[in-house]
Amino acid sequence: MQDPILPLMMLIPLAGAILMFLRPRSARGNGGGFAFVISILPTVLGVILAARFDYSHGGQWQERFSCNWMPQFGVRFSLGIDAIGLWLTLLTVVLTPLCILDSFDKIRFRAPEFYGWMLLLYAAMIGVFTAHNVLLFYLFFEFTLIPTFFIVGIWGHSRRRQAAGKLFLYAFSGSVLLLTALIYLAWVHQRTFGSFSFSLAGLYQAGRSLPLWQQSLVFLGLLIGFAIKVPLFPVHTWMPLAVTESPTAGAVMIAGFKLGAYGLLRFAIPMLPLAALHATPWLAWLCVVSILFGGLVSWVQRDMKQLVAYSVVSHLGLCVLAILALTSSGLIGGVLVMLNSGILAAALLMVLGMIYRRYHTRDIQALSGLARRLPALGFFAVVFALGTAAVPGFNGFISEIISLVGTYVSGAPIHGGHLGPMYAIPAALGMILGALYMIYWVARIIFGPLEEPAVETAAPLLAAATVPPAPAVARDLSLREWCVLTPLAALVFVLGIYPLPLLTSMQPAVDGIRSQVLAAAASHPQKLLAAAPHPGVAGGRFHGSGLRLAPRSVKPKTFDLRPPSGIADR
Amino acid sequence: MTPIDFAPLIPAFPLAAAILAALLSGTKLKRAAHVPAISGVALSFFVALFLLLKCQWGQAIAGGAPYVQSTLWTWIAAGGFKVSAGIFLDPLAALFVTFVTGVSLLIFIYSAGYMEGDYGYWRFFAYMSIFVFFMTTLVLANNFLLVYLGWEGVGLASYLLIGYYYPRPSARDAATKAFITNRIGDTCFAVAVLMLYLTFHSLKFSTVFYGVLANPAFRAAHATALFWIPLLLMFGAFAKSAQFPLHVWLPDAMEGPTPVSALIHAATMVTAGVYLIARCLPLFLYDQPVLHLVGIIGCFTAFLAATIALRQFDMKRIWAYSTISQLGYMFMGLGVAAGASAVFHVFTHAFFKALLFLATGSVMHAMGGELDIRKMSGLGKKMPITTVCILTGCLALAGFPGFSGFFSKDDILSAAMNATWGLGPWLAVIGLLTALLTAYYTFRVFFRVFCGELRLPATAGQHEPSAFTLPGPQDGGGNRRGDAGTRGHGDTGKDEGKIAAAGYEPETVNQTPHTTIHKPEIASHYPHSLDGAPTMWLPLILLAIGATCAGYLGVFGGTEGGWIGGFLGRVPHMQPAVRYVVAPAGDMYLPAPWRVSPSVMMLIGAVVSLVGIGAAAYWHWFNRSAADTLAGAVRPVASFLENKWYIDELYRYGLVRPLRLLGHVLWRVDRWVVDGVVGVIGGIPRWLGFSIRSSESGRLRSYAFGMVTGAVLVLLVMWYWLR
Repeated sequence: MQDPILPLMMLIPLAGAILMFLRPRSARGNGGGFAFVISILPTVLGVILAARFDYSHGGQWQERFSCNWMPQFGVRFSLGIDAIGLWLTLLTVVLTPLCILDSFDKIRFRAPEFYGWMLLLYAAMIGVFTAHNVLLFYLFFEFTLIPTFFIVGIWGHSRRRQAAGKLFLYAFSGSVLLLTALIYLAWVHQRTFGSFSFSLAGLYQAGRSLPLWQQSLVFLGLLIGFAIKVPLFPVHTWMPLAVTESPTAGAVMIAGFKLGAYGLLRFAIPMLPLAALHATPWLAWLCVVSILFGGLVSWVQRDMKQLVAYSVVSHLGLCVLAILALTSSGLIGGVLVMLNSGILAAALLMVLGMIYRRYHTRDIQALSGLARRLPALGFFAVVFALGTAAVPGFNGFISEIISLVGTYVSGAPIHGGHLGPMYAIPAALGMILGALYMIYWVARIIFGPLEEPAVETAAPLLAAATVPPAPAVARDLSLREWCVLTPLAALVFVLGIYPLPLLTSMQPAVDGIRSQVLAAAASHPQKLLAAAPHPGVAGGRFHGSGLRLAPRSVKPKTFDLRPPSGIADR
Repeated sequence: MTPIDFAPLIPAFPLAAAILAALLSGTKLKRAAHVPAISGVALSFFVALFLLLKCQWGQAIAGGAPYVQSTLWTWIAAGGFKVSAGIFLDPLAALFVTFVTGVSLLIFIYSAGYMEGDYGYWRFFAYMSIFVFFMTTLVLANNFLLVYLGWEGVGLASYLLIGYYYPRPSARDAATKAFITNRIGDTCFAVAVLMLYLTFHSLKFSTVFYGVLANPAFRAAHATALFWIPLLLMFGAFAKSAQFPLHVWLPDAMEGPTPVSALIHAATMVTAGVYLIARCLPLFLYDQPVLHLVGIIGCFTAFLAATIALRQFDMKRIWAYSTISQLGYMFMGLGVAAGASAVFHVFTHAFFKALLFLATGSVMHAMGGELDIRKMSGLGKKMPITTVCILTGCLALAGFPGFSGFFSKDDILSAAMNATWGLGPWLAVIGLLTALLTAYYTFRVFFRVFCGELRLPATAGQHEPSAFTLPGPQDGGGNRRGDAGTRGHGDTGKDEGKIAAAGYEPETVNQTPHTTIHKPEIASHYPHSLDGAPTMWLPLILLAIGATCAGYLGVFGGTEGGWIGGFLGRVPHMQPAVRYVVAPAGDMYLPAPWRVSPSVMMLIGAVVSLVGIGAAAYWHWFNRSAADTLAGAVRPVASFLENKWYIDELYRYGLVRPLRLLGHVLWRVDRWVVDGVVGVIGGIPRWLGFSIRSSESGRLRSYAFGMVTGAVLVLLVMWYWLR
């Protein structure tokens, strides 16, 4: 059965991008309106998709489209979505048109080209979340890099070259490892089953058949590729720089879409469950470090975009931590962080872009009390900040609490997983840090006595051609800006108050992944013995409930790998 | 329909009112934002009253469970983590929600007069309604996560309201401080919620309190969790209820408009902590050390705050410290398992503290924003109604015999005195000492401000300057650095011209012409009463009646603890008997050194209160110079108290600065170490590729071309190799 919606969702922006590139220079206007209309069409298709989706079978791949592409390698052009893919695709089709709409007054320089790259990026993003073939996924995943590179490198701020270069260097080194690992797996498939395959099921099979040491090597390759993209703690430094130096739309595309975490959830962990489970404690510590480190560093930033970028590092630490917890609620929490943090980061970056448009500065200390001058902008800024600070009733809270619950109960016998309070409690401190950096930001920028940089001191950082002049007296939101921020604010509230459809539809999908991982690890010939009781495992597992005060005598432990039984976490 | 089906209306009305007030903002009706707000909270109050009176509590208890509950809808369901929105109603919740909405109603009515003509009138009422919405949600919730929603919600609402005059740096900083301090407690609460879920596999009150908890085997199996859960809940409650060491936000919270202070101190925010521990008392009763810690810290906080209040000069700040101190009493009561007494004190405190704040608001209104008790005197003649009301409030706070505070405070003290826990009597002794200080500092304010010769501050009769003046477009060109809102209270008179230039039109106060009173001698001939509009003094009178009479509900109408004790006694852990059967957990506690009957305690309490008032009368009414001499004689102590035991400084230099420093250090580490290492690794290929550097033209297009070509080449090679 071939469902044309998913390929259409990709082809429309692709065609639009080609048209933008072929556009004659003499054409009137800058192509923004056309790009926006094109970008809205996949949104309409997305609505149809959401209407047609069978939510009661959210774990199954639906809307399949598949045709032969490179049969020699077992590469099919195969698309499909389950509930996780559905929500991430919907996020893409909501955020990208808003990005394009938001760019109308910001991009004055080679604009058609810019919109061309945006549409291309759009198509690639949809591809990433809908690809059902691993090589196809990889191609889209990699392809997102090219438009991002140009958007940052051409339309960015003063250090755009450096940012684009670093972005490219990091992502490309990661992807080399990623590709090597994937090709190796395909080769293993050929060796074991007689034919090359890049199909999801094929590579799952291939990866799971490997002995532990090979799984670990392959997992390392995938992990580095995805961790750079996430980004996780030691390999995150490209991200704040790229987000800061990129124009708003590019920053949203970098910080708003969690490709790396999606890759870990969909590919790395289910393909190599044994290795993943072995690496879990170490990785989880990296996540905890990401959370706390990102939060603290975010708090001391003077550059507002950098502040948001580090807050994203912090949130993604929680996202990956929850995924690694491998409990039902943890996986749902992880996907929710992808969605909610995506919305909030995008919204905050757009607000910052609007402030920058008015004052030509991102310096926290140059601005104060904007609520007095720009009440509507201030309102949206406060809403998004509170969402990011995970106040209940806003969407950030739902993802945060579910992730924390998922991490906390992980390791308890009936919930499965291998993390526990030792990880969840430091992660919960992220809530304090989240309040710190967001509330300080609001206090500094939105509240307080009105301080605005004088016009003549607000020298554009770029050549005058690329940045539109700031208005003499900043005006509050225009109608177009209202149209950009209102849907995001609506999402913040709706997902905070009524997240249930999301949660219930994702339940079968995450349960599928979870039971596959646990079953595959359990049936693996190499029993999963924790070779050395390293601190992550020995301190991190809690039987029963709550914290132990007295240290228990350390003895060799086996992981509890039972697949979820009837009562397990359901 | 049973009465509980109406319970969801209690939070629903204020929420609807908030939305309506916000919708009115864009219309000409925005000056009428108080109408939906007041009607919303009034409707809530009537529903609450109806529930309180009509719920068949007796039947519910006869049916086995001392509560009724209903589930409305599922909020979250992820894995086994299922949380629904639902109502849990027992006498405790019913009593709380009734006085919360009742006192809020009076505060709302007062606000309509107090805030009239303010720049953000609709915003104020929208926030206030949200505040009541979250508070009623908190009280009526049937599970911990919903309580958490209300819990953070009141924090959010208080943040918005404390920062209501957001152009003022002081208001902004106070709001930030309140939010962050509360967030620390909230995080403890959140972790407790996680533990509760793992321990009980449910967050519902009915499951947690009335289920396996009674089973000793279960408690033994989960002893560790059952130690940490109450401890963390305690820290959560301490942040919200401003107990040491998390009390620092509350005195600063007076930066909001005065009705907000009244709402925070009396009805909504700070009582949440007491409610939480009263609600979770079963968990605490099974963990004695934590319960006792609650009592000890409560007692210490009561004393600490009372000493600080001795040397403060801002009226609102003094009342703020008195709130902290009174909350300390409540936690002391909870600490000796006298839940009903603690709730009784919350109940009476709501009346007299709302009264004191609102009456102070009237003073502030009349004095043009001035609240320094050193700058005013003898107001009694000018503001007769306000004075009578504030006197009632002071008598209640000081525990004067016959007023509400007397009965409720005494209830707690006698419970502590007769606790089976050995430290109980010592807490009671410190409590009595604190009561002495309370009576003294309360009447220090009263005698200073309302008695003696008439003296008005220069700002009297003026309208408080608006925080919201904005530099107009005429000075928006060259230098757009505004100066609006940098002035605090009382710093007026200098910028009149600028305010007028910005189109700010001060309104008339009390139907008097807008004249400026510069000199006290003119003020003494000022002909009008300064009591304010009827919407302002009517609620004061009602609250004064409450402050006088509320105490009798705890004396008459029941055997022990009066009507309130009897009513709350239907909740098992609120029964007076509980505090006698709670046995110490080991031998580390001393036996109770003495037993004192409640009537003797009352007598001691009355004497203590009278001594305190007498001392205040001597030093602050009849012989004010003696007070200054006294303060001069104990200069170090006085300055120690004036600086609030240097706790703010301790936080600033002990916690905030180091943490920020850590952030800076980590950031440098990030830029130089983490990034540097990766940069070195990334530099190796570049170094290797130095020879082909000529191909790096630096043009992005050629990079793109190279990338695409490379990708195509890789695919081609693969294809040939495998074909």
